Amino acid sequence: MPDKQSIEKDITYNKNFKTKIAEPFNKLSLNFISDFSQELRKFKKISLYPDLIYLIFWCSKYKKKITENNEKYLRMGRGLVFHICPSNVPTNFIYSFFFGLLSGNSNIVKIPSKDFKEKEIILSAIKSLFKRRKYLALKNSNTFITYDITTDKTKKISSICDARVIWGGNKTINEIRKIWIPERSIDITFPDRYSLSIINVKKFEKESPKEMEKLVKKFYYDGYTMNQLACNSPHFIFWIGKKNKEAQNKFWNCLNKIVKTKFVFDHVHVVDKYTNLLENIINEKNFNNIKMFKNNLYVVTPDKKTKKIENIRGINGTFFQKNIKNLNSLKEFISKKCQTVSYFGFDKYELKDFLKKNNLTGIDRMVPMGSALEIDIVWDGYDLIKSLSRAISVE
Amino acid sequence: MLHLFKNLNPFMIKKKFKNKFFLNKIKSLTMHHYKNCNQYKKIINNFKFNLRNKNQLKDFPMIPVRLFKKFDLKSVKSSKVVKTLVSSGTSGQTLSKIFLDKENASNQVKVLANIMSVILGKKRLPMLIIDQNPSLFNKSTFDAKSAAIFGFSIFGINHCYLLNKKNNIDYKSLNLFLNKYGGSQFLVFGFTSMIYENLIKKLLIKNVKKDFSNAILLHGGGWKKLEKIKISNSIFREKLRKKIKLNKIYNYYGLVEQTGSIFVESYKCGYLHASAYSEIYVRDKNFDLLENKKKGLIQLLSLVPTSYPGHNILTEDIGEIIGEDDCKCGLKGKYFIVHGRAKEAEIRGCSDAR
Repeated sequence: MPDKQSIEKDITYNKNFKTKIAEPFNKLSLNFISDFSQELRKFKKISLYPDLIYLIFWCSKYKKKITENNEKYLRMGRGLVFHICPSNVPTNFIYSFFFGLLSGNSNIVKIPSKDFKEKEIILSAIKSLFKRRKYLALKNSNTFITYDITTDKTKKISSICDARVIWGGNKTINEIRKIWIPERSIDITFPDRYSLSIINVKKFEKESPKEMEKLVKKFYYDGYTMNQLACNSPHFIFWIGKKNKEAQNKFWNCLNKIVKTKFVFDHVHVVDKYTNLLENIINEKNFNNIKMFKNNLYVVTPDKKTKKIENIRGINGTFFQKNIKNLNSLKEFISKKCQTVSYFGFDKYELKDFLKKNNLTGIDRMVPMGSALEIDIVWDGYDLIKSLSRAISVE
Repeated sequence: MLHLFKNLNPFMIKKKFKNKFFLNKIKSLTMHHYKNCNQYKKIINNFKFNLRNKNQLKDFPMIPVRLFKKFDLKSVKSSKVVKTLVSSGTSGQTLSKIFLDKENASNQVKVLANIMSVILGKKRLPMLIIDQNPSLFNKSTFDAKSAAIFGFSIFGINHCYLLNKKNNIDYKSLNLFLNKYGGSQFLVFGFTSMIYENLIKKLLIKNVKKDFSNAILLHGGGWKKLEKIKISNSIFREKLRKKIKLNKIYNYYGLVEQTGSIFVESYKCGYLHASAYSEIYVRDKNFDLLENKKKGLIQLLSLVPTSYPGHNILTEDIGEIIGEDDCKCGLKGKYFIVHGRAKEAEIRGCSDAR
């Protein structure tokens, strides 16, 4: 194997490339992220891309949050982080990069080969920042590359990295994990996950029509924005408490109204949606009821026997619903695959109590309805800053 | 189960008669698949579709075409399957599998023959195939392309394949064929993209001894490749007419899931026509029926499929119905245009980043 520096140069086409290690939340990285969001704002058509609008918001969020660092260990980045991002998601790679950057590392980011407009916009913003003198050091320690599934490059980069961040389907992750990384290196994997919502019936039925609509709008945002394709998009709603069919119907009717006025379907969406519904019908035996609000919204009620829910997924606005007695009875439905539970009508103590008591292997986030799609630096159960840095004791 | 219009022209059946007869056939086909295909039964049950009610044809549940890629859908015992058709179809990698028993396979041929007799008459013509001979290659799977070549080749005699083993035009065979048969009517068959590639683009006129003025061309398989390079149906026809004097051009449209009951476009009008064996609806994004001359998703019904539930399919193609029974070319039934595949929306995958 050639040495680290020659591989770095070979992969990045930058003869000055060198791994730089810094403290988490160092000034340069924070400035870079805030300048990046300024750069994004310059694009005139930015309002067409909700993902990019959220990205701008995300960038500003971090400045505030970070200052509360009162750790007793010194923290430094691990070194060179190799990010392998999914080829079908436009903005994922930039978050992965920011996690690596904020935790004090150099980064080689494999970005999707597919042409996304969002990807272009992000990369051109990065490019123009890298031209600035103050970011020369970042330019020479971070790079974005694309290549097809040639394992040769993946092998090379893996052999010199200090951490690998792998996003993607289970198959991709297993393939990449077979490739050797140095003994001290770590893998952080983000495989397929499953997400759901819970509603406290007692609280929900007391809401005024106006408040109810607000809540349904939030659910609409969680459920429809990413066409239910994101790991954190909800597929199931659990109605917790005494069954109130009328209230449930109100919820769905209201959602239907919102979808009708807000969501634009194309032909492929509805064919995918209908196909997915029929697949679910064939794969599952026990559906009590399927309510189709035209093609705007499908609501499926599985029967009581349905326990394994992680493979019952909707697309483009297909939701499954179930009534359960109390929060604790949710545990039967939670598997390792479960990531986000978005909720309405519970307080944090109840939720924490539920999480502690029930011997769960799943659920990495519980967030209020409307926040399911947000991305945090604590993700899939990892505190990424801690995972991507070393804790050094100086006594 | 299939009713053959043996001595009737399947393009001469008028609306009033067809609607009644077609509804009855679809009703009994739906019942047949309900009884014999478990997955299909689940679908009908879950939609709470009551087969005993007086249903209208438009209300029978459709099967989306991609379901044949995801599941092995059969309405006969596996031991009865004599042939499995495989197509690549829409999404590229996964294949749809069509299971044929003896009866279904033979009905495909009978229906196709009945439809073709309208174009070709009862006589079998010398046939030039714009492809390689599929039997040159030992293929383990029976793909849609070879199936189509074999399926259509029964309508011709003295078959000649334009392309040799190396995929080059075999001018020697071509000239032999044209010299021998080019003086009177002969049949040319191939996939639309292959016709374009070979007859319109590659063929060197100076190497060809005779023109194609006596040819009847039958082509199908879709316009996807040609759309990309902006070759429309009319440009395609114009080019063939100018280059090799080929005038009589019939395009066909159909699904591998409904092999046999193809839709034929006559060069006389430029529209595709449903036969007595098939029916078309065009639906909007809510699956409501659209009026004529409005573009939407194409649903296709066929009376042929019995060994798999392919008699009522929602395609991923966009089209519009122009009219019914009153086409200027004289053929009865619905006539329509296909505008190609519904455009793929931007696919967002498992994105944790939002």
